[in-house]
Amino acid sequence: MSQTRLIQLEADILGKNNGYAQANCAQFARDGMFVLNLVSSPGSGKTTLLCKTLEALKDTLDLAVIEGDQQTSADADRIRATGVPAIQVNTGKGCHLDAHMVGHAVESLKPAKGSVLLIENVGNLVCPAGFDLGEAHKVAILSVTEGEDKPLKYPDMFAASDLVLLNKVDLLPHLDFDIEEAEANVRRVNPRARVLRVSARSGEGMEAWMQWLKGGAMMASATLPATAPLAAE
Amino acid sequence: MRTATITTIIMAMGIIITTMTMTTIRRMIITMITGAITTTVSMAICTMVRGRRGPRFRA
Ligand SMILES: Nc1nc2c(ncn2[C@@H]2O[C@H](COP(=O)(O)OP(=O)(O)OP(=O)(O)O)[C@@H](O)[C@H]2O)c(=O)[nH]1
Ligand SMILES: [Mg+2]
Repeated sequence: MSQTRLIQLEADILGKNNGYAQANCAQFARDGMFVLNLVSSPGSGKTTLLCKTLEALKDTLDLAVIEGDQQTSADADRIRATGVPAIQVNTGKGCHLDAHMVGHAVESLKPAKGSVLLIENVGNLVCPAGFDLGEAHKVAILSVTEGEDKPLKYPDMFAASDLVLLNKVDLLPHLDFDIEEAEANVRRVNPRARVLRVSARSGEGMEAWMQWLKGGAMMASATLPATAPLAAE
Repeated sequence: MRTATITTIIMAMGIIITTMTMTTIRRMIITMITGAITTTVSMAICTMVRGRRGPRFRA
């Protein structure tokens, strides 16, 4: 295939996706929803982090989860075990979620107005970077076992993310991972990104992440009209 | 897609062979019927193949 044709094809696919993403985004804004797209390589701890976050926030926030994986509904089952509604999207041969899939998933999940929708993308540091789902922010998760060079090797993903969570910091004493260098590498590809050190296992740093999430949820739902006062009896 | 194309070609060959041995009116009728069948079958196969590749939602 010629280079021009390849670029044209890519532009067409991404253009179509962006159309769906805009529709999703408009719907999320109308419903005062705060939507995050969690991206990372396989096994960096997205589901574990989500489960811990849901356990801590499910009493104060309306939450819903979309899980993306090539096969199995294992992750959706783990989420549902926390009592939060979840839908699993199996992408089959696909390596990422797209805005059209998310639109369909939202249709059947029916998240409440003013809720927080967390989308766990397919574990992959490449393709999900290009596909906007209509989310407010991409959140990249990099676990300390992956090596501090990953932001430089997969710059698109880290450049597209507004928040980077350095996960599994409980393992730092056993590794020669240079966390300062990892943060510097994130900044090199994305100076705007916020970086937080967390451990879904020990709970370290989770408070800061959840504060960030609650702040976003509050801002998103602020646009909703105040609940109508109950009619006088 | 490839499966559908192959089916279409095989069925089209079938039509040609059958119609070569018939009178004009019969030929027209048989061509129309087999044409319709070919289209339906290849479309069904296309949907089947695409369906297997597309995403699955598990609520
Ligand atoms: N030590 C430690 N292990 C963790 C932490 N977070 C997750 N894990 C472990 O990492 C492994 C993978 O975690 P998952 O949550 O399944 O990772 P994931 O990113 O959802 O993986 P995929 O959905 O397959 O991409 C599991 O064995 C977790 O127990 C952490 O903070 N510290
Ligand atoms: Mg997972």
